[in-house]
Amino acid sequence: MKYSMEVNKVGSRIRNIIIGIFIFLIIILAIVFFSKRDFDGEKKSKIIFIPKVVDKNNEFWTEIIEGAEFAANEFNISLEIMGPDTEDNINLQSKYILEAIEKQPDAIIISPISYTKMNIVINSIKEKNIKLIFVDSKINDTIEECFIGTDNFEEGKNLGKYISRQVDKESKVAIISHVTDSYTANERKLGVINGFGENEKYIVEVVNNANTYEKAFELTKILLEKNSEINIIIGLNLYSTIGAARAVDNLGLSNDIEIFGFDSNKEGIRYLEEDIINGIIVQRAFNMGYLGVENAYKLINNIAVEDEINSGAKLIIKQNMYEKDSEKLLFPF
Amino acid sequence: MKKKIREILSKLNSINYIMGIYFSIVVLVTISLFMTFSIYYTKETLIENSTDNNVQLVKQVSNSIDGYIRQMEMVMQLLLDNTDVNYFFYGNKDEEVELRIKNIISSIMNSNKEIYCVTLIDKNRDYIVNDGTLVLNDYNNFTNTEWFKNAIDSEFYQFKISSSHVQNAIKGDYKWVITISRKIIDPVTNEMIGIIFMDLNYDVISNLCQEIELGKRGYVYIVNNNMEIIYHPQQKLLLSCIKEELIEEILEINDKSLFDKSDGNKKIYVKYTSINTDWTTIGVSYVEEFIKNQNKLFLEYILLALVLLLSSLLIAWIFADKISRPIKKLKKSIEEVQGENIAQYKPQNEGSTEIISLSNSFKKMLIRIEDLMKQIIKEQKEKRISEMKALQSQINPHFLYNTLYSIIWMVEVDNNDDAILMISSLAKLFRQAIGNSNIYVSISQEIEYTQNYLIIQKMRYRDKIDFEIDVDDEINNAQIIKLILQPIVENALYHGLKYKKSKGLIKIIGYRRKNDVILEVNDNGVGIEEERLKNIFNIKSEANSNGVGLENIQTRLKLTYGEKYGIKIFSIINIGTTVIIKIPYEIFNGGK
Repeated sequence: MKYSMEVNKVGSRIRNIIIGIFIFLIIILAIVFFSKRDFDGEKKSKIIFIPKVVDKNNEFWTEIIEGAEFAANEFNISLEIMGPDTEDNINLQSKYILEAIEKQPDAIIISPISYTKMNIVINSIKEKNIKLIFVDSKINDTIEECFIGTDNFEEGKNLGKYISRQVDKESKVAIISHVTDSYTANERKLGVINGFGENEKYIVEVVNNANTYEKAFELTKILLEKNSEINIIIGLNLYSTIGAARAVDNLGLSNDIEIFGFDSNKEGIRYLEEDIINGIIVQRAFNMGYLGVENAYKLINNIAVEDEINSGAKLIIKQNMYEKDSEKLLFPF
Repeated sequence: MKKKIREILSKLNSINYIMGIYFSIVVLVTISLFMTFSIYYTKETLIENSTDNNVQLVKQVSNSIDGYIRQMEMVMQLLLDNTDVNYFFYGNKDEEVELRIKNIISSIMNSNKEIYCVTLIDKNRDYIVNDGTLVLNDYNNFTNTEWFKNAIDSEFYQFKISSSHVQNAIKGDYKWVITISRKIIDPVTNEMIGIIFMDLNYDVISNLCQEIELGKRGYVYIVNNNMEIIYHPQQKLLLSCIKEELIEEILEINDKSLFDKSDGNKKIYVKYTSINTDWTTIGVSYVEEFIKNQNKLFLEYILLALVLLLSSLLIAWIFADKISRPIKKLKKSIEEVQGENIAQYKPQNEGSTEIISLSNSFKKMLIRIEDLMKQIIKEQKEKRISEMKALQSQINPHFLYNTLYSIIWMVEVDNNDDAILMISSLAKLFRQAIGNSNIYVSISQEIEYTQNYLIIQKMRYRDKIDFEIDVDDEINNAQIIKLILQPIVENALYHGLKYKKSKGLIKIIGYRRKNDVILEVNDNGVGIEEERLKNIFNIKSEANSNGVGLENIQTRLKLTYGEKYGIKIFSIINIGTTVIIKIPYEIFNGGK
């Protein structure tokens, strides 16, 4: 009898322990359940975009930034833009890069001002395991995960070919380029020259560092003073193209000189209409910005991306500027 | 392995586990069904509701745009009804008229900020644009434009609406607009005399569309009959083919909504076509936003199910325990009743009614068993008693004959005294043997019986037998079962003294020792051999004077008084034999 009584006690103790464990488990689960209701763990990716310049008068870069912001909104990314106010300020851009690295974003998108002089600082992005995407321009070291931009050489070539068709032995062509060792400047220049083919001999001048509207204006004026036979001017970016056009207009030489170039704004459109500018390669800036952020997002989420993406461009002339496609490219909404 | 499985299975057969398992299965099935329906129904309902909501929103947008356009058409009508305007259309050039017209236009534009540009063109291709103060774009040749050509193609009274395009009429200003145009026809000649254009700010439309919230990622877009996009928030991307949008499919469906998954995201499209403009407004929303964090919801449901399941297991266990414990208790108390503890068995009052009544029934059964057992014992006892009675009332016929013959011989030789003695002894013998139906007699009675026997035998075997009886007074009233002493004495005579050549002596002693009565029968006969002595109680059928052998005596003594009592025999060859009878001391109370 005594033995069975003891067994009873033990049995009843075990029973109570098991009940206790059950209740404990239930309480834990209930807590987890109710606390999870508030949990909305959506971690936003963080991307920093460092363009060549942040200038609201430069519609090209403004469009790129718009495209980037559009994509950031779509993919729910936290996007920060930081960039120098002039397109030749390598030091400032480098400083911004270092600042950006400190902030430890998931990715950095950058349009490096210099093709050759920024390798060290750009490499330090990679050292911190931050995803690196180049937009519009790159450097002479292939360390980025992805490059989005216009096929500058090809477009330059297209423009060169187009111009070359109307070149004759009287032609004297000047190229007005921007930052000397800028990737885009060089590619486009080489493209244009290539597009000229044999007519390359008619290219007589190359002006560099027309990095702002004002500088381009001045340099063009100086150029024309120096060589009044120039009758074709090719600008390689927005500053140089518009600056040159302004100068030509200012000097009243628009009937004698044809201007071609890259990128457009309202002023440029007017010049197109008024035959001051005769043809522009308009890049799909919005797309460039959009694709930059989109591919950064993909990289962050370990989705494969292509190494190089051509964001596209179109040669716009007066005759086609009001076509549907051209309209949408030229005129912001 | 199989054995282990069997072991486990048999363990699981207990009430606890059975109830627990069944209960859990029921709960699990119920919860699963509930969960599935809930999730499915929730999702379906959400999608339904959101879709309906979207249809309303899209309709709203469409109606708002229609409103603007109608407004413009009314304004246009106002202008057309104006005589000055008509005057102008007929190609009349009058500065005052034109000034008045420009004023009207000016006030119209002041009160309708959505109107970007009003252009009147007369039959001579002279035109008025807005209030005439703006510098026009010389390079604008709108007569080449598509929308101009469309307007020319239109019917009289028909307002033509263009898709979105850039208006470059004003110098230095390039605005996206929607153009409404109307051809003016001379009712008499049916010739075209002019056109009126009114440009609606594209902003108006894009703002309307962007205001609508279709979730965080949802959007609205507008297409026209020719599947051209009037407005789309991602127009630029569509243009360069970075993105694609469904247009044809949407226009074709008859249902109010379309479900599409082509770019990996589940989307719902709703549309509404305006009757006035032939534009279709389409709303796109992302399904995953309705079911925000569907995975999270699913996880929550699973957690809930787990909680419910654990709770149900616990309840099932406690519940089963409540039933099985009283049963176990009952089982244990039944096991403890192993024959000995019937009286100690208490029916339990713990458990369900069935268990309690079971316990009571068990107690009743035990009582009945007890009664039956008692009855059996009683019957067995009675059987023994009647057996014993039967035995004890026997008298050996041979002894009778021989004794009677002895009496006859005595009478024949005129030995009357001896004859009388023998007859009276015999009579006494008879009386005790036959007349007394009791099992028990007193010691003195048994002694007397034996004495009578011995008297007769002594008379028959003169000079061969002598006897002495020495019994304490103390035990005279003690009780003994009948027919113990005399057969032993008879044995002593026929087995001990018979073969002795000289005179034999039988001594009978009786005394009390503590709580026992001891009777000793001693003879100085030939004794019993060791071998025979060993098995003496096993020899059954020794035919004595009344068929009562030693074995019978021993059995009866032990049955009546217990194993401790009975007879013991000691013997030495040629010396003698002593038989010791031990019984408990009990007072003889008249017979039982």
